[in-house]
Amino acid sequence: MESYFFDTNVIISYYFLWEPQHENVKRFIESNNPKYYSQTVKGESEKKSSEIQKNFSDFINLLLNELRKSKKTSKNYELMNKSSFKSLLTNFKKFDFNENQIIDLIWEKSNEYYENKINIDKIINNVQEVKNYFLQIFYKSKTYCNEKLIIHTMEKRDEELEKNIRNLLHELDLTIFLEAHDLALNKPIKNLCFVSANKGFIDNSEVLIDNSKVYKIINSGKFIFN
Amino acid sequence: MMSSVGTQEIRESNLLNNLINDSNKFSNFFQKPSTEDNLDTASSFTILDKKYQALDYNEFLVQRMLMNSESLLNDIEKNHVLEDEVSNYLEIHNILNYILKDVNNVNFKALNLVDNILEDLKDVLIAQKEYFKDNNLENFKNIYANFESKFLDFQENYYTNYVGIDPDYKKTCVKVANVLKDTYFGDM
Repeated sequence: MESYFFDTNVIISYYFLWEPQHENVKRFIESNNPKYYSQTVKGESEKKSSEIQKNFSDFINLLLNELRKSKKTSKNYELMNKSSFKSLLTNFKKFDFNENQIIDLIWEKSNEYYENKINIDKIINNVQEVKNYFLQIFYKSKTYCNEKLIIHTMEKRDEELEKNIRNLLHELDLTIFLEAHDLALNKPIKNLCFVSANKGFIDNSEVLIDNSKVYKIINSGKFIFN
Repeated sequence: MMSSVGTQEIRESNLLNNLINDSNKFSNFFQKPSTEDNLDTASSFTILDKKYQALDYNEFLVQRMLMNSESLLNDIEKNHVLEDEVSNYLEIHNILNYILKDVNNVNFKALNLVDNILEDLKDVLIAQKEYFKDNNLENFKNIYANFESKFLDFQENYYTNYVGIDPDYKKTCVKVANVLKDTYFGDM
């Protein structure tokens, strides 16, 4: 049976439903194979994912706040038309979302129309449900990784390997690969596969495998499960 | 200037205390409406028909809680020292609104969780008062960091244990996810 060592981008893809590889990495991370990551990967994942989560939550919270303000000033039985809803988002430019598409989807879900208008409470509820859904997946995925993945702390940095692959990878990626190699070298683990979507690892997989104890590099985005 | 800041601080503390008190009253009354104390409190509030008393009193408390929470949010927006004070309180405010959206179907465990984080927020208001006196930003930042760590635990606990995922929303969420990944997070 193969064992997996996960790179940061795999963990992030697992945390967020909107990540292109979410469904694919979920199958790796929730498989019954032995699964590992490192202190560096854990730290980097926590930092990046917290920033993304905060950005997403701030966006939704501001939207909800604006909707409540609109409800107060509404003179039309608390109904709102689509263009008024869209105009609310002019305040959120810094988030760089494709607001119109998101609004279309929220609108589509709020299918209780009255003369092309929707009760603001219904919109608020839909936005909140969407937020709950994403964040519950985020926190549950984080808990799953904390509980099910084995964390490896590098015993010794392999200087020989570092010298041979230094030019192929960025500094942090180099450390992560050395950690995976250290794991395969010092623990009784057979067939340790390095799972990542990072181009640096994928493009240089042959050299990295030849020089290290890592068994295989798996492109998490391209891998097809049987 | 100092006196207006001082008045503001007292106002924020009062709003927070009132919010927590109303939440406790609401939880007590809703869960044990027939106890003598609760009936006394409710009857001193309302003169409406007795059969509607309980419901009206609950609705009144909920509306007052949300009003106080909104006023507190407005005050924090005006007087914050750190940007995160506003965004973090907005999150609490939105969670409170969601929990109280249906007065007859409130998750009291989730409400209790909100009460606890509001209690923790009191320390921030006290620290803010000190900050406006001594201008010691480092001290305020340390106290806020302590609160923020509790706030992050609160968020994680709330979304993990107190939010039910409505399967009706899965389709919409997957579509929203596709928009997000194409437009904003796709190149992560």
